[in-house]
Amino acid sequence: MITITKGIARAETLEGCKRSMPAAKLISKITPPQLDLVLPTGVKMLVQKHDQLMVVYEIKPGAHRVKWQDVDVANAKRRTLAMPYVLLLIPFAYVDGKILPYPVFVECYYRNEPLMEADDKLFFPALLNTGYWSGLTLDSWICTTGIDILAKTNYIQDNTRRLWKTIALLRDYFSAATFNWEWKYNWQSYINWDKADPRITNLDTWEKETANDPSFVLGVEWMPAKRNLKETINSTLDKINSKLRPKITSDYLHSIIINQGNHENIQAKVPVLW
Amino acid sequence: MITITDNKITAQSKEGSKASMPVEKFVSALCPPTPDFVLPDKVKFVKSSPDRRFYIAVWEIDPGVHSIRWISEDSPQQYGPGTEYDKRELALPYIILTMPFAIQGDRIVPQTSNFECFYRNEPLIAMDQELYYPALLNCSKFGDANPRAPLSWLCTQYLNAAAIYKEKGVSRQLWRMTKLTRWCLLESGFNYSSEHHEGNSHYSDYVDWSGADACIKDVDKWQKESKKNPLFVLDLPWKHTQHTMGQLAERTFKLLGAANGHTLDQAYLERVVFNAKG
Repeated sequence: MITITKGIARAETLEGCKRSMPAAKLISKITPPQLDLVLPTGVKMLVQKHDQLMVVYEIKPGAHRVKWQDVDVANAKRRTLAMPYVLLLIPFAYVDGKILPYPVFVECYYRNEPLMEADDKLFFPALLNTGYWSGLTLDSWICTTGIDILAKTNYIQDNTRRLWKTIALLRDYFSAATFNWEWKYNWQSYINWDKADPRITNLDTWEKETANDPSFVLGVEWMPAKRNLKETINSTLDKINSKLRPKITSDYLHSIIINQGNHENIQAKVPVLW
Repeated sequence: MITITDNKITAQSKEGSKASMPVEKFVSALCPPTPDFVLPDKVKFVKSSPDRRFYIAVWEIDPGVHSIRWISEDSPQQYGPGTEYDKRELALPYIILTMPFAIQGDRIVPQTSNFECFYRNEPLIAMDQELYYPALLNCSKFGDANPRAPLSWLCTQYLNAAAIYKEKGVSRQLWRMTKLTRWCLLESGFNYSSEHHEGNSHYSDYVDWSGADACIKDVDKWQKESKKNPLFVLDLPWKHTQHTMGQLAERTFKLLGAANGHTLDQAYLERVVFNAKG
C-alpha cells in the first residue's frame, strides 16, 4: 500500500523497508512533460501521449527526383516523378528531458488534399520501400535504413533543433530516395489494384505525365488506408507505449518510491507540475 | 489522506467521507490531453496554459513586400468611416502574430483583446528568442504604466467571429481564425485609430525614435526602398520588447487569468479524487 499525507508519498516493502518521496516528484515521473517546441514549416500535427510524441509532417505536392530500380535491373535509374501531398508520421520518445526520434516507426501516406482535420482519410503511397510490416504491425512503414537518424541528431542538445534536424533528414531522404525491390508491398498492392491508374503503374508514363503537368497526381485515385490519421497515430503511439511505457499500477508506483525514494525524514517541498 | 492499493486511489477527508478512482484515471485527470489540432501552414506552435484553460497559437508571416492600404496624407478622417487610404507596396520583416483562445465545447473562442503582433529579422526557431515591436500603425502601444495591457495589441475590430463558427471542428476554426487575423493586420487598412483610442501605435513610436531607420519613418521612402530591395527590412534595427517568445506566451496567459500551474499539494490531489467521484 502507498499512503500520501501532507504531500509525501510513502511505501513499505514486505521486509519492512520504508521509503518516501514528495508526491509531486512521484507524479512528475508518471505524467507527460509539457514540451515547448517551435515547429518547422510543414508540421501539421503534434500529438503527445504520455512520454511519446507523434509529429505529422506534410510535403507539398510536386515532382521529386528519385532513383527507382527496375525489377530486373541492378542499377537504379533517376526519375522525376510527381507525388501528391506526402505525410510522414514521425514518432519521438521523451527520455530524460530529451526528445529522441524512433526511425523504425516512421510511416508514409499520400493525400490529394492538404491535411485539415485529425480524422482525415489517408491513402497508401504507390511506392517501393513502403508498406505493411508485420514486425511492428505498421500499415505503411517506410524503410529509413539509409539514414542513421539517431547518430545524426544525438549530438544536438536543444529539443526544437533536434526535431528540425530529424524532419530535414527524413524530408531530404524521401525527396531523393532510392526505391528498390527489397520492400515492395505498397507498390505491388497498387499495381495489382483494379482501380490503379495506368499513368502511375507504368513508370515511363508517370514520368512523362509529370513533365506535362506535375499536378496530375492530385486527380489520381490512391488506395485508401484502413485507418484515418487520428486512428493511425493512436495505434502507433499505443504500440510504442505498450512496448516501452509501464502500465501505471499501484505496484509500479510502489516500485518508484522504493527504488527512488528517500528515508522518511525528508521535508515536503511543493513543486509545480508544469 | 490518500491511499493507493490494488490499482485504486482513495482519498479520505477529515470529516470521514471517501472517494476513489482507478490510478490510471487519476493520472489522466492530473494532466488532461490537449485537442488534436491540425495546424495551418506557418503556425509555429499551439501552447496551452498550465491550467489548460487557454491556448496560444503563434503564426509567422514570411518577410516580403506586402500590398497594403495606408492612410492618405490628406485623409479627411484619422480613422473609421471617411478615412481615405493609398495603396502601398511595403517590405515587412518576419511578422509574429500571437493569438490566444479558449475552447468551449467544440468551439474555439478567440481572446481578441490579447491578440498581438511583433517583428523579427530571423525566423522563429526557439522559445528563448526575442520579439521586437512592429513599426506598424494599428499595433497599439498602451505604455509602460499599464502592466495589465498587451505589449503590442493588434486591432481586431473587424475580426468576424461568426465566420470562424461556420467552420466545423477546432482545426478548421483555428485555420479560419489565422486567416481572419492576417486580414485584420494586412488588409483592413492602416490608420491612426491606436493613437486616438489606446494612446499610441508602435509606428508613431518608431517615428519618434532616434534609432529608427529613416526609410521607415517616411512611407514614400519606405516604398521606394522596398522596390529596390524587398529584404532591406531584415537589416533594420527594431525596438526590443525584452520578452522572448516563451515569456510573451506566459505573460499572455497571466493577463488572461490562467493559473500558473497546479501546486501538487495534498489538498489538490485529494480534490482531484473527490471531483471525479460523480
